[in-house]
Amino acid sequence: MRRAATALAAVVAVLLVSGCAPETRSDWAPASWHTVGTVTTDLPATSDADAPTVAMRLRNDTVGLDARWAILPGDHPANAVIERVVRDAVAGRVEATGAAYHPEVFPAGAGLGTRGCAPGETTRTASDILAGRAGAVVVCEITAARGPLFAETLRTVVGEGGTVTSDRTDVVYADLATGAVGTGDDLLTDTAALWTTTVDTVRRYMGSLSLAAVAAPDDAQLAAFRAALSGARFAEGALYIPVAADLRASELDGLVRWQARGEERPLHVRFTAEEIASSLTDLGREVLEASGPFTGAASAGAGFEHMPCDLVPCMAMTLDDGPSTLTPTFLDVLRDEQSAATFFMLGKNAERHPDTVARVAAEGHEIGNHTWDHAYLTDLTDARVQAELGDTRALLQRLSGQSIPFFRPPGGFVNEHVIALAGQSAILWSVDTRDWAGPAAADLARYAIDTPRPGTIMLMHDIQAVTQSVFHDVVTGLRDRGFQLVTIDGLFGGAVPSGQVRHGPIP
Amino acid sequence: MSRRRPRATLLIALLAGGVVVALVAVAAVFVAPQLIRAGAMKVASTDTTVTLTTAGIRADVPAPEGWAYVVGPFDDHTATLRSPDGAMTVDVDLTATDDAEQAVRSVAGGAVTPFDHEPVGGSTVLHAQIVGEDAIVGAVVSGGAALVFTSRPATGYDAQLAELLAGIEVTS
Repeated sequence: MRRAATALAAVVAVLLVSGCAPETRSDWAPASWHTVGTVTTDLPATSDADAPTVAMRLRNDTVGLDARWAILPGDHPANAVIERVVRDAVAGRVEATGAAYHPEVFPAGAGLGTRGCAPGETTRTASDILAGRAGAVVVCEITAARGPLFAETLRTVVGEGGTVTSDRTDVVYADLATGAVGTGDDLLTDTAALWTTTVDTVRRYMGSLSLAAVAAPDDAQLAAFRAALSGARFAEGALYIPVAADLRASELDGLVRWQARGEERPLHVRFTAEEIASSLTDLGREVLEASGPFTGAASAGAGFEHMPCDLVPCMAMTLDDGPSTLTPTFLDVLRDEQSAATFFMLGKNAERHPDTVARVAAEGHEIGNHTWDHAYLTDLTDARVQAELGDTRALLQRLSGQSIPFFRPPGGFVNEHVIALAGQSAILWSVDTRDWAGPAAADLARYAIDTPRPGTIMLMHDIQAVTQSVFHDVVTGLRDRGFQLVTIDGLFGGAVPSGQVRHGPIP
Repeated sequence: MSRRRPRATLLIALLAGGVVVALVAVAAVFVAPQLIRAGAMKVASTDTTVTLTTAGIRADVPAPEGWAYVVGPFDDHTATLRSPDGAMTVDVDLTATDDAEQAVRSVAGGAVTPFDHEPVGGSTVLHAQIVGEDAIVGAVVSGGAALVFTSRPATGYDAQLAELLAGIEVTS
């Protein structure tokens, strides 16, 4: 009994002692994190962003590249920045493969008529974008088109053997009102400070318990961070900064979640407008504040657009002997397919269809001199040659407002003497569809689609009904093979050679 | 005149006594230290440093103003800290070891997630979650010394734990 009583007394004593436990305070709250921004893998949809653009596509199997992008109409300065992303991808593939780059086309049915940007393209997983291909894939979407602001996001995914090896996003911003152009890194002032903020936010998301100050970035870290910032984009009033897959920071290296992060869906640090306001450049503020319907204009015509024929496979469609009542149908096809052509017009027909001549010029196509009435110039006297070419040139210049920089001798009959009399280059052809000889429509279409190579100057006639009947199929078929249809001037980058010209530069 | 107790009654009394003793023993081993520790806790009236020592190693653990803390009470290498709202408890145990992860695992008493490792000053902080519990376990490691900690709850108190860890110094 005595033992039991002793034990009981001990228990009571313990309970009494424990009853002295400190009281709690209701006015105290635990510390909280002081990070700026949040980490997310979900980017807002951009399906409401739409702008008139020129749709581009490039495939090159030699170096391993498939690129889709879009440029602004009218040779806007932003186009060079957009194009640089594609050229960087090409350069990367040239370096990786050791192969020289030449624009390539593919057999009919290649599917390269699908061009430009599409909503949601850049937010797909990297594997989805790569789709098992080896090499680089560039996709794009228009991520802002409001007021004077245009923004295009380009994502470049590189992979080997089905494995993603790099994944980069660039966002190109253009303020059409001020002419300012930049990428995501141009939106922000103090990149080094943003590094600190970003790493701190990311380490917290990854479960860090460290309050140690984030170390200032070294040059390599800063360069990598700036490259990632190129993909910074505004959406729904917040700025999303991509966290580069190759970002290295001692504050992150030991965190398990950081080590195990996937590269399929890049992380982004989301900063609200309030959080980032003090760090914005003038361009950044313009991007943030832009609102209202997009003020950018649609393309006036494909012939006005600059095409990089060293990058994409170009060819020149030439249409002779018009204009005619059929010519507007050809123009409709060219407009709808964002393609340009060169019309070698007869003076007598231009006189009959002045409005068509004006439309050809207004839509940016090129006009060449094809004599007044299709005379074979080598059979004529000097005076007659000069009359055929001179009268026609004067009329075409008056009706089109264009200079008429070259001529095409009917039948291809030309010599150095005629060229000297003309004082201009004689543009011949490298592919003659012989559409004037009564071919079956299917045969004509197949030949016109299958035969051209990069640099081809192809001859057709916009007075032939059979040509009119297949012209849509021919243009879409050529684009499907990867061709960009440009004017003669465009084929030569504005420097058409003198003398007889049968073929564009062979890239 | 005295009466003799029946034999059965005596047996029952002995059994009951045994049960009481067993219960008291269990309480002494498992419950009493907690209760005693709770009862022995002091509230820091100013920012205070709690010093733990064992086997020639040392740890200085901050007990900020308003926090309750107790060292031991039966040793100099363990301590418990409790937040002013009474919701957060941090148990620390200074130990000499070359395998801090193993030391943490043995304290966790269950499976833990993979360890994060973070350099803090001259020390390394490693930490993980106890699987199925709202608790963080880890250690502040310096040389062959590790201050193993268990902090509950994790939710809403991780930043507070980080603040506490930032003030710990371990010297081997």
